[in-house]
Amino acid sequence: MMTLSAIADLAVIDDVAITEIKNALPPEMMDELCATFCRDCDQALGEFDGAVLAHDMLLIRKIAHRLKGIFAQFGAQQAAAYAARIAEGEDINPDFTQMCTRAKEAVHQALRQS
Amino acid sequence: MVDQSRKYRILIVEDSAALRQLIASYLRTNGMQVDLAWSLQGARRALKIFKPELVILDLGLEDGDGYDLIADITAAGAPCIVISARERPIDRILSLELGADDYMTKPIELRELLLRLRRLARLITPNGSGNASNIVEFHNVKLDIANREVVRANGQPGNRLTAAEFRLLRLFLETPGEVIARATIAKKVLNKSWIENSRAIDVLVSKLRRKLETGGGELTLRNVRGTGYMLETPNKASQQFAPSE
Repeated sequence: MMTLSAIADLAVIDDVAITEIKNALPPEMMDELCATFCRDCDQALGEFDGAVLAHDMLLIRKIAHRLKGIFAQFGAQQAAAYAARIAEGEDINPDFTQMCTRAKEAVHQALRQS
Repeated sequence: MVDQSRKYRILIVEDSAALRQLIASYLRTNGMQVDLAWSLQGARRALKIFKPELVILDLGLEDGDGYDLIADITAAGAPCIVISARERPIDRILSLELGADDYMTKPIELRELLLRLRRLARLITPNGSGNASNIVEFHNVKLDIANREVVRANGQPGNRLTAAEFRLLRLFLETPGEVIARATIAKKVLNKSWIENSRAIDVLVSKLRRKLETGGGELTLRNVRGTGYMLETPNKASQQFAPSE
């Protein structure tokens, strides 16, 4: 598991991962993929906030694990690393949801840039 | 050999819509026929309806754990690649022990996934293609190559081998009487250049041994302490065996 200082040193977005996705799919598929990615993130983050309010640690860790997988695949390495810590049972950074929202927007923007 | 022009039918079981779409779009772009499921229940239905030839399985599903699905996939005769954000060795080992053929940790390289799928596709034969010419016999053990089954002594179909068990059996049959090192098994059967816990190999050999026993033949898989395993035959006159792809 990465330390908080190591995570802070990561770039928000891994350009290599974004480039790989862009190279892998035809450009006309990118809009739909971006929309699905944003919906996926919003849904998981909404469920995460609900689990936090309910103090449901098991669900918190499960959703964090899902967010880790989504963010890691789409190159949002910093958010993925924070999510990984939560999935392992570490304390929740109070800014976690906001950080994820920023990461989501950064991925969205990077994928849509030609 | 893999038929590059054939549209292999693949089932993706993944609870993240974005990951499903990313992987499905990539595989379709590369000529695969893709079906989707995002829960255990949906995947079990899809296995029956679509009869996929290959399965990509995420472990964290909304209604349970993907581990519970591996047996269903194996029973359906489809090779299976697990993709998961779980990075612990025990998750890889458990997946392989349960019958998965491969394991990739997220984030996955799409190109690598495609190559691994094509590698697994070498084990696939068209559905229902089993016929007499696909039955080979080796020291009274009959193997149905097309269906990856050990045929019972009475001629009835026996236990189906997982893709990993089939690869292991091929390896033994190609070099009967010779000790095969654990590292070789890890590389050629589990597709690993190293393996943290050799128990995965022991379990795999043990499962194959049990299935061979149902065939009533005379083959023995012997543990050569500290080295690996070897296929012992009733006499030392080795019979060469080269199943067709």
